[in-house]
Amino acid sequence: MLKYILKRILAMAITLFIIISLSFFAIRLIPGDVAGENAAPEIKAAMEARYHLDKPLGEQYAIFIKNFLSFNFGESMTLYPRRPVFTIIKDKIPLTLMLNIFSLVLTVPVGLACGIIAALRKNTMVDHAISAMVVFNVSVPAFVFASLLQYIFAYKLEWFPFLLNLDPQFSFSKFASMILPILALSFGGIATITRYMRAELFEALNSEYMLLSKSKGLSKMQSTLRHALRNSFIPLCNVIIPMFMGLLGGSMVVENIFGIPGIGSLTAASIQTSDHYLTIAVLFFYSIIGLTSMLLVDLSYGIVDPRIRIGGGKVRE
Amino acid sequence: MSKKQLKLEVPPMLDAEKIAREHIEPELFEQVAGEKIFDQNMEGEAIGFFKDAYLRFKKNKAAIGAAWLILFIILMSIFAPMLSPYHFREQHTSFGTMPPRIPVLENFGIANGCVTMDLFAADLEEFGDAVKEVKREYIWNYKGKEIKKVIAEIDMYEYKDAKEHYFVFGTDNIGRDLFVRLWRGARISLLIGFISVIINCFIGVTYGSISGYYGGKVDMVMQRFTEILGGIPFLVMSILFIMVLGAGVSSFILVLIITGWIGMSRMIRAQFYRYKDYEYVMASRTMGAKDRTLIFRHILPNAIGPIITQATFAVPSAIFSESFLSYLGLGIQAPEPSIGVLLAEGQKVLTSSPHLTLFPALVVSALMLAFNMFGNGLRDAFDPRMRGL
Amino acid sequence: MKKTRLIALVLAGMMALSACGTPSNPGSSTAENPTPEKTPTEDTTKDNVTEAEYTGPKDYRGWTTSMATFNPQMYTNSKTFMNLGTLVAMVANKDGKNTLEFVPHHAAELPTSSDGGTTWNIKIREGLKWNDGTPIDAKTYEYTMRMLVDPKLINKNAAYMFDTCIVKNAKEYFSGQCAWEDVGVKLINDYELEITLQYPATELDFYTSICSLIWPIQEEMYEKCMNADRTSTTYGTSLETTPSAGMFTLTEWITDGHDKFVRNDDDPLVKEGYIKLDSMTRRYIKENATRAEMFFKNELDNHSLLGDDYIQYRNDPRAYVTLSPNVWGYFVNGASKNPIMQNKDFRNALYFATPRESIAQDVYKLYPPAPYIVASGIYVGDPINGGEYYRDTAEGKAITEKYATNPEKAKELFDKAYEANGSTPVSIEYIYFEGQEEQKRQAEILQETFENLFGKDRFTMTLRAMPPSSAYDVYRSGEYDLGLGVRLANVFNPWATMNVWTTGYADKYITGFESEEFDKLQFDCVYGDLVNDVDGKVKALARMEELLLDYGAFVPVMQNDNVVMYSDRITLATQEYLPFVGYAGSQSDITAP
Repeated sequence: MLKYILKRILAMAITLFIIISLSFFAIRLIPGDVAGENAAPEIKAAMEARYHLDKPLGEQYAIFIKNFLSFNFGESMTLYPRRPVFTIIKDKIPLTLMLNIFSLVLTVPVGLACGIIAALRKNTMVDHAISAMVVFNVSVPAFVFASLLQYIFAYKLEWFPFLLNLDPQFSFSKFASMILPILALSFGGIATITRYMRAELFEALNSEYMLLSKSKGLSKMQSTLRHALRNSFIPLCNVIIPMFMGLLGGSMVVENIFGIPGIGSLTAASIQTSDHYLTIAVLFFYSIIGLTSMLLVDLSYGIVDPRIRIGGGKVRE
Repeated sequence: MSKKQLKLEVPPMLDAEKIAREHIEPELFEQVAGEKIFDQNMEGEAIGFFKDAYLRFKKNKAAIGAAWLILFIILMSIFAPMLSPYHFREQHTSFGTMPPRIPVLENFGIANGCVTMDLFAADLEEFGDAVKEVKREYIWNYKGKEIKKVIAEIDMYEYKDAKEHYFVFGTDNIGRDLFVRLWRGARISLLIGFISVIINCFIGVTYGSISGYYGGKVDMVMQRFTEILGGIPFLVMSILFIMVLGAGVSSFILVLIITGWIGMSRMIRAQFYRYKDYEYVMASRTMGAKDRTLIFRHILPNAIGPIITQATFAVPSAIFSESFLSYLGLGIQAPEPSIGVLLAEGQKVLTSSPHLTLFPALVVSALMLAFNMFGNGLRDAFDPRMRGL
Repeated sequence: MKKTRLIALVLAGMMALSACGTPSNPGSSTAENPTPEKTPTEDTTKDNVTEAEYTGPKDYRGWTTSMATFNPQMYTNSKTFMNLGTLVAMVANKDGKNTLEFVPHHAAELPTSSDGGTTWNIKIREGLKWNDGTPIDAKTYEYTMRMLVDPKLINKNAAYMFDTCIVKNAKEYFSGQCAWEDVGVKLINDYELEITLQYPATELDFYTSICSLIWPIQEEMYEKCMNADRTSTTYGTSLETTPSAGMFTLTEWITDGHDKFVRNDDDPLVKEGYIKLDSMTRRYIKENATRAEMFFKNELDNHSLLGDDYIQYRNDPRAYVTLSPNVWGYFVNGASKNPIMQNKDFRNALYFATPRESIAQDVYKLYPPAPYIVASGIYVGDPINGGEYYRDTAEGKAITEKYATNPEKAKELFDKAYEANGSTPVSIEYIYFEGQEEQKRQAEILQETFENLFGKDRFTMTLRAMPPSSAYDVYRSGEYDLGLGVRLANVFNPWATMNVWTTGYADKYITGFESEEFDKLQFDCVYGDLVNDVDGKVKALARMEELLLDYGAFVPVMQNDNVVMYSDRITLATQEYLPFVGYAGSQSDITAP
């Protein structure tokens, strides 16, 4: 097991190195300069020296890697002039993380419940209704859905506020203002989990061991709970943990619409204002989250499903 | 999936057998030992793999419907731009953001080119004949002054003097016909989806076959490579590439390919691992079959079903990725539309001109729905054990 | 239009006092503004019910799309500096006279020059304090100016010291060529400062540049936030590192969330009654649709009207038209490798063929078309004692008439150019800014119009989207044919910002335009003989505009005059748009809950 973990971590490190290198070349290849448009020529020359753009490429690369590994991402240029990128990201992580975790808390149980109901009541009205919801969720982009939520529930019905309440203390009004963004964030995830759960559970229900459990006299309820459900949960960590990554992507859209000062809106803004150093630092942050979640999936498999651990490796789809 | 291939292979159950297992009636048992058993020869003609799948697919009404829907959308995306009186770039700048107006339907008050506006009573005259109906009049109090306002239904086609035009899905803000742009956009989106999926299949199948068939060192090296490459999140990869390459059809396809083939190659590799030790493969090998024959003739055909199914599901997700990148402003270059670009444009004016979001969203929903149902149908047809999943 | 992103000395100043995210300007004072005059819509009954005076909390709820930093030396959008004061403040008259005033703010009196505009003596008020209690005096300003042009810090706003008014040796100090002692900033005593300029300047220029664009910084905090090698400071990047010394004090700030300013009753101008609000709160709201919905639900006090809403709200008494000093259009590269671009007739054909009326009305809807380079927001002469908008002068009007859009003429010129080019089909490329809907639309209209007018068999135009900074880089390198963009103008000194077209300008966008006559006129108007001759300067401006248009270096399209809606609970300090301060949102009053 230890060897397996080490192997996974090594692979991760190489991936990370590739991402950093890609980022470096992206920065060097993108046209545009560090001083920003309409900058006075004196300022321009000085800025280039500051970002080591006057040095040979190899040396720039070395400096870049060194800085990245020490979490020194430089300073933002256009969006937050002179503010260290690391501080900007650090300040924005908690809010995004909080909303995404809340959203997971909503997504996972709802998704599981819908999936289970649909699988148990297959081909009934309930199943069709859930399937319709799944199709709606997977076919309407999150940015359209989020705008619609805001228009209907904040503007037309006035049930919830337009924007997230930014009070530091937790209050009822803050909670109310979090509902719409959380719904918007959970939107895609619920469909994904429902779909997976329904498929897995249905497969489990039709498998041999269910027949066996029935034949040894377990009630339908018992056999479903004891055997089918447990087995169908195993592949779900494959879906749920990486879904966190998907949520972060969704944040880019949702945070813009609900005025949430988080990582997502930061990413969108940094791309739109061509603040390249900020963009790649945020992407680096996403990469770390992505890789960590992948590692978690692998390890959790090793724990949940011992067959994989024994093999020392595994075959994944 | 990891679990699935670890499971024992269970041949499909026959109906009679199933019934027998569920209701074990004592009278169904009878003494046979000692008597002669007369085996009967198989009757009827043999059915090939594809024919078998086709027969099963034909029974699935939803999948058939989905196939027709996909065909319809593809045909529309090819022919609608050609047959329409408007060109996707043709601008009628004075007819900006016109609501939809459809012949026949307009007589029933649906899609009749009217919008409801909240206007100052003083401004009403300016609209002249375009005012179809004054729904409500009210007094608005502004800093102690009482100002008359009306909520009126305005025929935009009358107001803008466009009575001879029928923009069936309305127009965007420089008066381009949304109907044509939408189908043109669907063409681009489908193109991106199909090309990327075909290339992904090709790379994935080749890579997965080699890795799975040869195993050992080759497999290990190849697997480490996919693990490292696959670790780069799609979001990160796509943003970096589009920042450098600029947005365009080819860079989108490239982004979708770079890591897109990995899923396919893993699935193919798993298939190879499963089948390469089967007796029939071993038999063929002992009879002197070459590696090529074993790969292409004996093992790969087992994977055709999953390949087609997975490819089908990949098309809508490619379209979806494209629309997400469009929202971030990394979409296709003007004046070319894509469904993603249209949706991103529409979202900005969702509340004032909902038709600009509604129609692209409908088409994208139809595409997603159709591809998913079609994919499900195919999976059931190729692999009946998975039916209904 | 991402105005907020552009490095704009003047834009920055313009927004300094106007409320939130809303650049400013009114149509009422210009004849040329095609937006309908704001006619108070028919009042049926004027009941003179005198409502009891509102005494509740007066919190102005604004919005912004960008709150990057409160370091006044780094950020270019000084509407973020409501928490700071300057030597001289430009404000709307507090008694509702609809006029602009220069009032000494941190200065004890309006600065004067003893030698015709070269040496300026500035007296600082006594008793001024930062919100943490430390005093503000002449030393604060000396330190501010020194840091502004510090050669290691490379502040984005360093050019405030050597732009319209060139402080002696400031540029040299900034590029590390001289010591601070040589720079024309001298501390006389704790409350007196002497500034020496390289060329004499008028009072107007001095007040509108050095005196109103240099915001003080608090030395102690600035030093505390400085990094070890003194190349960067985190001053103004969080609430703790943002001291206030203006009419408002910053009391809350969450980056990209919201900020809050509370009136500072110790401020001299607040004591004189210029500020009626208790506080101003601004939310960061990116989506215009959200802002619109919130405005109509009375959750925001202002809202920039979108093109599509314009038809419904153009005559709304809440809508106020602003007047921009900037003209947007596209740069035309006469020095391009593409031979057709080198043809003057062709460049002129582009000018006359550009359907600016259609682009303005159909794409931007609320922006007026601009067949000229100097916007109608540009003011010539003294705004206090009588001057006028340049486009209202005879010279300005003549240019507008001479260069009206004219497709027939364009066709003629194109035919001529086409023949001169050997009658082979021509193809050019147009660069626009990615991610901006209207600019994409504008590009598409240009493409369609040109191709239809000149003939698709003879002319094709390709479009290319780029991020603005990359696009401007391409203009600098000269590797382009046509490229969308803007050169920002100074409201009171358009001659100064014309320097971007002079031969010697170091950060030029390549267009191939070079004219000795132009260079001389520009120098004379800003630093030379014409400095005090308003009439002469107006004539010179018209000639400069004519030279540029005649060469075809820039094709103007429209000016971004926004229409801002102010909630009916707001009573603005001025009913007329004023140059520089606009409608002075921060000076408004709240008269209803």
